[in-house]
Amino acid sequence: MKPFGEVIDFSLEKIFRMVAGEYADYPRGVTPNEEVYQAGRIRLLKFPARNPSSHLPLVIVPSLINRWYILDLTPDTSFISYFSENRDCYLIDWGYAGCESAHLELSHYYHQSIRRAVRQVRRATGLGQVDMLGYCIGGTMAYMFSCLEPDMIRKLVLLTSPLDFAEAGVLGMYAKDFPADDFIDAMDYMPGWLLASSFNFIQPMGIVQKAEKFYQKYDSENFRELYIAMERWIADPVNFPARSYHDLLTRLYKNNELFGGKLVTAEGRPVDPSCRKAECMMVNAEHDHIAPAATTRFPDADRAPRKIMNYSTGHIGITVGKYGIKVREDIRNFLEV
Amino acid sequence: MFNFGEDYMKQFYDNWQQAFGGQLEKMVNDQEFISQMAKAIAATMTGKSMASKTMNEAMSMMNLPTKDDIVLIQQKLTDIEERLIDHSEFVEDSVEECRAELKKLQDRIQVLEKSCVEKKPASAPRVKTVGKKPVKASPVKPAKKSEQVSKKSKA
Repeated sequence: MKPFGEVIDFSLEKIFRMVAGEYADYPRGVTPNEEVYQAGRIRLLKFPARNPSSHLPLVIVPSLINRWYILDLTPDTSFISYFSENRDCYLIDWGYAGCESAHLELSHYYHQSIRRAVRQVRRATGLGQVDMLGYCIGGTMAYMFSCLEPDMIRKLVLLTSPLDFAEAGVLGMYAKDFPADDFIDAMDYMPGWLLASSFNFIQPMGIVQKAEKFYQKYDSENFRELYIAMERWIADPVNFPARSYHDLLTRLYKNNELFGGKLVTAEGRPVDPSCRKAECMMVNAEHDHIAPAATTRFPDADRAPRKIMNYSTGHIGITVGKYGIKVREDIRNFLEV
Repeated sequence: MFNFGEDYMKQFYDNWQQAFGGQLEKMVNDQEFISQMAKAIAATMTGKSMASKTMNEAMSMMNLPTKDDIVLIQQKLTDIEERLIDHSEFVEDSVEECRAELKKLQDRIQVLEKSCVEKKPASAPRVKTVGKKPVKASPVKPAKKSEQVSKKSKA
């Protein structure tokens, strides 16, 4: 191990380079892609298959809270690169929301936007159904979409996605006490930097532990590459539109409407879990503080076939950590049966 | 190389993490603390809306558009864009449906035409015979050209 002075020297050099803008144009995602559709700030990105063997495309729904390229940080850890090996992958990029989308309800995202994306994919491929993978809140949204449009999805993969918000851990405790009505009167969106800070706040020792890990592993080139990519991703937060944020807090976290089957869209369509048909795979991280295992229970009304996998890792670790490879393999096996 | 005394630092760090980290985690998970935080956030939000309201009133007094006005226009534009997308999708889907129907009809016509062609020899004996000459069963005879011309000139 190098002396502490050298560690400081190395870190300072990195910081100075960062300040100088060396990492400013750091690529957002490493897998080549093309934009195939755009509606407002929402884009549909296509990641063409390198060696196509499966004709069914995979539609990926990332979280609304952060940027999509957590699933495509480095070539070694990229989910997208892995799945686009043998099939076309499409990803919904939610973009950076501003004041103009403050009034859009959550159902605009989980129903209209996903439906538009799936429609484009169906038109492009000529197929009636697609496979879908959702990460974090994106998984919750994919689940809600599969309740609303059960015939459009063949198989559904939910990566650490909360469905039952009754015991949502520390995040749920904060969400339940959050003054959502005062918030919507005062703000057009939940600022991304504030969201990022609040995630750090509920894990106060997280930053210290991260620094400790960096000190222990900075010799490894792969680790440094991943660390920088991860820091770049963390430093790129997105705003959450006010009305949607209000819906997320009140309808999901406070009233648990999805689990109870009482959730309705802005157009008045019920999000009924009993309508769901797609075979589902739930991927859980046992040390997840954002979506604890208790939140990933399926609603009682949901009778569709399901498979639940548990991994001893955290919310982000499940995508970029050492279990990432196993998770990807298990998902591919599930999708290709 | 300059050395800070790593063992001492490490021991200090471990002790600090055990003592301080545990307490900090306990504090942020405490329901009372969370309630107080929520109250503080609510007060901040109320303060912000009051400040925005005052600013809006001041701008209105000067006959200037407020931030809320601009945001409202942006949101209207978003709504219009959303409706346009919905309509264009509807039109695209309708056109595709029409094309599919047209294709079906064309295919059906082709099949019918084929079957007509195949059936023709079988329908040949169905002609009326007057004396020895076979006469087709068409009810209306086309008028001669000269007759048509004379009718037109009379008119």
